Amino acid sequence: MSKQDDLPEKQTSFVDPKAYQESLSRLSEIFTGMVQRADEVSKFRCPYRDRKDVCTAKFKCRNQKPVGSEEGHTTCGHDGVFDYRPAWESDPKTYRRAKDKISKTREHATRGRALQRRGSEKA
Amino acid sequence: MADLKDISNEKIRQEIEEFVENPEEIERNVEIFSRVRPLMQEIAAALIEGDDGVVDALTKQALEDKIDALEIMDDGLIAAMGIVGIKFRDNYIFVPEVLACARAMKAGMAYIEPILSASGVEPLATVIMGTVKGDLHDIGKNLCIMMLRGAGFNVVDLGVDTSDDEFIDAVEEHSAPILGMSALLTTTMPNMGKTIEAFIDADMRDDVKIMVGGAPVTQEFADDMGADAYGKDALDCVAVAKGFLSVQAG
Repeated sequence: MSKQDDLPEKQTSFVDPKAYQESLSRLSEIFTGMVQRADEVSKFRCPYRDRKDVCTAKFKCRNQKPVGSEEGHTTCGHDGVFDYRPAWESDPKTYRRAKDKISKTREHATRGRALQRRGSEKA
Repeated sequence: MADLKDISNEKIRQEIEEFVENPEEIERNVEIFSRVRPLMQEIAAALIEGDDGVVDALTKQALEDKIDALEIMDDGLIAAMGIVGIKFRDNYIFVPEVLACARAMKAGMAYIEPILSASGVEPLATVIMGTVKGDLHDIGKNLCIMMLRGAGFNVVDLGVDTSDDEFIDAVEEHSAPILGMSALLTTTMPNMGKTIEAFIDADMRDDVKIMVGGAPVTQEFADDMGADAYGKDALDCVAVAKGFLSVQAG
């Protein structure tokens, strides 16, 4: 959300587009390094696990372990000894189900639109 | 040559002392922070902490003090992100902290964007981003958003568990030429296809280019759903979005 309305009234700042592009390139370079690192780290550490080992995910996970008495606070119990991501990707049955569901959704939607078209032509 | 004690902000001094190990990086960061104003150091310290409220207030204050917008961006926000990048690379912080810092950066940039616009610097395009209905995973999407913003796109983040109507309304409201959808589960991935069909039903499919991504998504799935493109990661997401723009321009 831009803060146009909150800006000081007599704001006279002007940005040189060329200098801005150079700044943006520097920022992009920093972010690229971060994203590459995030990919490497995700092979041994869940991306939702923060530096204090607290789980920041807003969903349930089998690796969550409750912390103290505070409700909702969990640490990550994953030992990080394997790359867990292929487990998400390698079950042929769930893939087949997802593929079927996508085909059915498209067929159903196409059929619905055809019926609607026919209905409006008749009308 | 600048020295660590030339940096007035204690937090920045501590950050460099404690977390930056490479001599060249120490020298570079000491050189940067020793020459920047104390207020820029304060902004940087707040960003490194991931404190978006303080970054918001200090950026506003800096602009009120007539400090140049680009100086705030370079000496406060980007200089701090450099330290964040080093801490992440060396395992002192992890993805959740990086994303908190990115949110703090966004809080500062929210004041700079209108000045950019007034200076004739417009965003490349508006991109609507969201995780599909039934899915609460957001890290991949948030990394994509960070990259897209860093590349100069204006991004509207719809968050997680986003319905077809929310995607459609956002594209319409912001006249966005690009939509990005993310899913992390094979069970929620088909909802991307449902949303694409909803765009066809709303007669808006030709108005927007749709890219999809997430751990279970493949090019084959993207094709099956009728998406315009598949992005395999956050870097690819930016390349795909830029590709859409060059096709439109061509």
